[in-house]
Amino acid sequence: MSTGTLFNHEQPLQPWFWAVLVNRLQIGYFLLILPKILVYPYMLWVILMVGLVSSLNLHLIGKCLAIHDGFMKGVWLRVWMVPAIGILLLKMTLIVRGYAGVVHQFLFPSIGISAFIVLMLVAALYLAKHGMTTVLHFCVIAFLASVWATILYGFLAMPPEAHYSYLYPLIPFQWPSNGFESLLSVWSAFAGPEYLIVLGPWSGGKRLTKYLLAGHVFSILEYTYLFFVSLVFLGSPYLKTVEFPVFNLLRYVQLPFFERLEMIVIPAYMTPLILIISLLLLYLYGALRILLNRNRKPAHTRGLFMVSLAVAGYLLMVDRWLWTTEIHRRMWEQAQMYVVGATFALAPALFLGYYAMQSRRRRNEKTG
Amino acid sequence: MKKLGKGLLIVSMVISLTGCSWGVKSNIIEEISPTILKYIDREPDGQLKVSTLIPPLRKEKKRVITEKARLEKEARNEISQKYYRELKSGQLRMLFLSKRLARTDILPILNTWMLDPEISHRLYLAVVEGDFVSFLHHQLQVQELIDFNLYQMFSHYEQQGEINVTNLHRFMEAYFSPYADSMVPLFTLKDNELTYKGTALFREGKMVGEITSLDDILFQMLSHKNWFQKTLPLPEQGIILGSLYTESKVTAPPSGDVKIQVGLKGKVDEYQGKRNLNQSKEVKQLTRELESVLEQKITRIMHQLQQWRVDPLRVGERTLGPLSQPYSEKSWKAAWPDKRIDVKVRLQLESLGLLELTK
Repeated sequence: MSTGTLFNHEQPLQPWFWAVLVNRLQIGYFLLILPKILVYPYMLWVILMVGLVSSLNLHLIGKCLAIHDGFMKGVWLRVWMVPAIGILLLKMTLIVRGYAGVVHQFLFPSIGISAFIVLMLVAALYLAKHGMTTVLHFCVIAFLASVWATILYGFLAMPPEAHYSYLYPLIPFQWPSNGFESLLSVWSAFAGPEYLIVLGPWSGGKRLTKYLLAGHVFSILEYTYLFFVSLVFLGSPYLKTVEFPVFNLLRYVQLPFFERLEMIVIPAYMTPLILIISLLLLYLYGALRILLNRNRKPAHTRGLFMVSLAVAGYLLMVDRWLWTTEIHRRMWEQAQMYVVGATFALAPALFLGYYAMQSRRRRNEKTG
Repeated sequence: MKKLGKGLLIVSMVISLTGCSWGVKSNIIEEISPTILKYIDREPDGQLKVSTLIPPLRKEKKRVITEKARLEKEARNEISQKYYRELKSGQLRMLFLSKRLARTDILPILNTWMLDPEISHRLYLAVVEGDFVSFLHHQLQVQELIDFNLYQMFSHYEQQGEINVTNLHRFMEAYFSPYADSMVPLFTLKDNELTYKGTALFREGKMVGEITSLDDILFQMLSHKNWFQKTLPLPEQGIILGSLYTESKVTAPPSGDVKIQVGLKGKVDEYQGKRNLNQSKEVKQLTRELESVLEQKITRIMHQLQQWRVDPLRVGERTLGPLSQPYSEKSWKAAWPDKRIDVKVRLQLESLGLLELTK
């Protein structure tokens, strides 16, 4: 099956790349808002607990990656692509519009949000047009460009700025009013690796589960650490009122030779998002090709460009009409939380179930 | 053709990212005036009076600009319009509040500063008694760099102690905390001299009390677990203690008294009392006497805090345990004024300044 250069998979990805990939896919937009949703000290346990439970899901994803024959065929597959495109677009909306909003709020209040939407898409398109293999390799750059920022938070985790008494009490005395929302938000914060299930052809036939888990453990540590810092630095009641605590904290860090670190860190955090966006663009293009039954023809950069153009139009429309205020933002975040949580929970299981069904049918055909 | 497209793409990205595009507010340094100090007062008619020093960056004569307005940001804009360069607040480092303003609710004013992404949360806060504007006018005749010098004073004492330096973040953190209250350094103006007076205490964003002179030294000892105090003058006893290492331990069991244990270790810097410090018995007596004096003083400070119903020493936090929270925010605020406080001071004089005065 020739798929042109975009989806070329002759060069498999090295195993430890997958760890980095899982980690950066998880640390997406939710990192920015998670501490504000969790608020209470005992939510530290929730992060660890949900992290543990979701590692089971990563086992399933590892199994999905072991599949690399193109078993998916038929009308049903095309039908499936319709909700898939919707989900991809939703995720794209939150990441692009959400982050463009952050940049607008913190860095360039005088430039319109639409300019950043276009810029982020241009960057993602530039990356995506080099093909899937390059995009997947980009995860290392995305990791290196953004992970150093976590070190800066160390300044805030020590007294006198930090008050460790905010960690008490470590157990809840009453079920918090937003308990379900917190559980769900942590669950969807660990979402992201479910996009890897169809990347079997790039796995090179190796068993990858332990690498996926390594990346996952790193994400758990990162979430725990950033929540811990926001908690001891701001305290629960204050944390509740702060938008984007992760960046607001940074505004307090002052190096002897450099201030306003958010000017550097906000663009740096954009690199993993660019990785996700270009991955989503490629997926969208792929899904459209399946939907329109054109996946036997070679993939073109021109097609990818047309898809990006349509996405840009869609996002600009969202920016103009559907996401204009902070209240809208919360609604999008909520919607995203439910949808992403559901896909993370169901996608790997469904994929494996579908595969098992197909292979049984194939075996039956052979024997019968 | 492909290369040209790539080049155009990069150029357009650079242009839009560096801010050189249409409709962007520019920050050309020759055209703006970044202020580093602001003073806010409240007029009797309820209007805010905002003053600032400009220009802090260029070699021009500095001057004070004052503007009255109903809202703080409104005043900022009006000041900007009064001056030929645009004022920017990105470099703002100090905010002085008049005592009159501090007595009313300052949260709505601080809120605008919190929301402004240009302003760092490290902005120093201070309360001033007296006419700060005429102080600035006077200082401009004497020393042009008054704003820089004030900033250096704050950043010096932030690390050194001696002055209870606080900033916007710390104020808000304590304001939101269920078991803490905000405090801000208090300065007073006497004959155009800005003097550190003590600590102003806030409850729910309103100044309710102040701790001054000697009490302020003890207060700072109490607010740090481990502390080094250069000098502690006790003029009534004719003694100055120096190089004091202090260790204060506050325990607040869920039921029962609040216990404050203070350990002091230091030397006698100056003594003009009547005791002969060459005799160990008299030294012991003096130590006991000083201990009880300090205990009384600390107890008085604590009672004052209870009277004002503030808890800047975060005693309430001590009631929390990893698995227990005996007081909610409300119940602690109700219980604190009536808590009994038990103060114990242990003083160790390492060196007595054994200087034989009698021949």
